[in-house]
This record gives sequence, C-alpha cells and structure tokens, in this order.
Amino acid sequence: MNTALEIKNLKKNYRKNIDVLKGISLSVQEGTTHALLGPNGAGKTTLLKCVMDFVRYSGDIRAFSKKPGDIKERIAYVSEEKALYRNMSVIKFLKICERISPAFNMGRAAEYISNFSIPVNKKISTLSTGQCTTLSMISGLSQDADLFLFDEPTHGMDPVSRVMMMDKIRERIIDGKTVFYTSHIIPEVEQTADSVSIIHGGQILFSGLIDDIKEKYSIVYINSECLKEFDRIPLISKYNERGAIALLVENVELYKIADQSIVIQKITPSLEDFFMALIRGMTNVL
Amino acid sequence: MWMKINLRSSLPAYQQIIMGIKEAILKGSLTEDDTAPSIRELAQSVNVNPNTVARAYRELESEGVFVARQGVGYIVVKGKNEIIKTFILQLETQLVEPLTKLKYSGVGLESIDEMLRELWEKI
Repeated sequence: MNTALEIKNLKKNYRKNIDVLKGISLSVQEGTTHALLGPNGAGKTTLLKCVMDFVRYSGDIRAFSKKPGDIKERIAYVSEEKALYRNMSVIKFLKICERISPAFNMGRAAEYISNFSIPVNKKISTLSTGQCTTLSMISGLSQDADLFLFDEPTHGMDPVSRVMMMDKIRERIIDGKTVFYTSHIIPEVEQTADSVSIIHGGQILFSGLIDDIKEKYSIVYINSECLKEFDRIPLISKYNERGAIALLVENVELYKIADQSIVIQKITPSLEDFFMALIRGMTNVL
Repeated sequence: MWMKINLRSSLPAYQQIIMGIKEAILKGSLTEDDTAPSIRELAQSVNVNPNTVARAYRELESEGVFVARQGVGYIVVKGKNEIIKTFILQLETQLVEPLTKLKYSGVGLESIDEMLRELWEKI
C-alpha cells in the first residue's frame, strides 16, 4: 500500500518558548482513515494547519510523495472554525464553492444537502452550529480530492447527523480515498478509523491500527507492593486508579511474570481504555 | 448478510467479521462454492471500514475458508464440518479471560463443568 501522507519530525513553536508540536512523525496509508485523537490543546489543529502550509514549521510533510502545497487540488480541507459567510444563503455559498474550486462536485453536494436536510434558501446565519459544521463538511466532501483533512468533522452535530456524517466519510474510503481527521469523540473514531495517532502535549504517544490495540495490549491492575514484580517488564503506562496500580503492557510481556495471581484484574482495552491509560500515565505520576 | 459489530467486545472488529462469516457458514446461509458478499457491500451493511472487511477476508483466505478469484470475488471453499474446528479455536481465546479469573479464585473445574452442562440444557 502507498503512503498518502508522511509526516517526519514536525516541530512548531508559536512564540519562543511554547512548543506546540515537539517532533511529530506519522504516516497515513492510502485508502484508509487515520484519526488524530487527543485532549484539547494537544496540537491537533496545529498539525493539520502545518499540513495545509498555513503556518510555518520545521520538519518534512509529504502528501503522495509531494509537497502538499504543490498538489492543492488533490487535497480537501475543512477547518475547525468552519468559517462561512454568515449573510449568504446556503445555495449561494455552494455556487461560490463551485466557482472557486474546479474540483467541487455540485451534484454530490446537492445529494448531501438533501441527505442532511439543510435548507438551501436560508441564510447561513440562521443555521445551528451543527448545521454549519454539516455545511462546511459538505463543501469539503464534495471536492473530487484524493486526501481529505477534517478538523472535528462532527462538531456540534446531533447524534443522528453524526452517524450519517461518519457514513459519508466511510463512503469516500470505499471509493479509495484517504481521510485524516482530528477528533476527541472516541467511539466515533473506533467505528470509522482504521488507524489512530494519540497525541498529547505535542507528542505522539501511540500510532497504529485500532484493531491491533485489542490484540496486543492489556491493562492489568495490581497492588502497589507487587510493582517490583514488573521490574523487568517495559511499561507503556503506569497510573493510580482508585488505590490500585494500573499498568498498560504488551500481552507478550505478561507471560514473563512468574506469579500470575498478583494480577487483581486484567482487561482487554477498548480504544477508550487505551487512550485514557496513555493520557493518565502522562499526567498522573506515581 | 447482517451482523453487528460490538465495539465493547474484547475481539477486534475484523475478528468479529471472521466469526460472523463462519457463523453464516455453520448456519448454512453461506455454503461451499457460494460467492461471499463483496468487501464494499459488507462494509456498507455492517457499517465498518472497508479495510476492516478486507483484513477479515485476507485472514479467511489464509485460513483456507475463502479463495479469491479474479473478477468474481471471494468463494467459500470450506464446509460446515471444517469450520467447526476453527470456530471453536476462536471461542477458546474469548474464554481465556473468564476462565483465568475463575481458576485464580479457586473455582474447581467440576463446578464450571456442571454450570456448562446446565447452561447447555437451558439454551
């Protein structure tokens, strides 16, 4: 499989002392959905802005082996602000999209507009937050692009529209396109994405296939006095949970523990458990 | 083909699809020489990513349940009796966790055996 997006050692600091991104490396395979998951302020939006060349950065970013700026027509981007012309009607906005972007597919946009029941003649200022997000997403999804970048694609949307939006994104993948998007809605990511990068404090804590998480990792709970048993085992994350010590480890490492009875409980982590374990390990130092 | 993926399950989505296909073969809704639903079709009906279905199909192919035929799709080449073995094997991995818990809690094999028999009768 070819790489659609390759990011190497991406660094970004806004002012002298504030490092927003501290050396991010990740790659997104063509024809897959890759979600960027992280708490607020983790650097997700900045990362997308770097890919779009909207801000200065150091490091290397390639889309289909080229500089993203050189293949703009193959990339569709929907920003977090969902900046729309508030006084314009929905239909006027779509017509402008069509005029300024040769890759804009009006037929598909019309289909989405009816799927999501967006009132075409109403002014954008009368739409709800969720409808504004939907409209921005429609403008992005209707591009005949190869790589789609979405910043919080379901922000403010109701649960039904959210599921429908995820279906629309999935349809693009079925057509062989690549989607890279930010989110903090974990179940949504679990259902839609193939792989995920978990970002915290400007660093990647994990990047890989979502299905592999359940197969490769476990969270085990032990009493603090048993922690020495884990001396020779690489711990991916370690944190306190209501008096017990929680450890995120690779399954293959667990077999090295002679006395399995010290494990109070062992769980197969869902994406949410895995995400929380990584983040808590960073913030809750023993 | 209808199946629902349970994200809370300890089995990853692609494994659940493999189980779903095998169940369909065991129940007879998919039989030898049938063409399996296309990756695109199944992805749409199950509501997962096509890559997840593709991974399940690749695995089924390497297990010898499917054979990929150019221009036709995936053909089922294993019958009921051959599936049962691999089906049980997969179930085993799901049972490891609850059984480990029971063993370390001092529950004897006899009581588990008894419970299984009672449960079997009830179903």
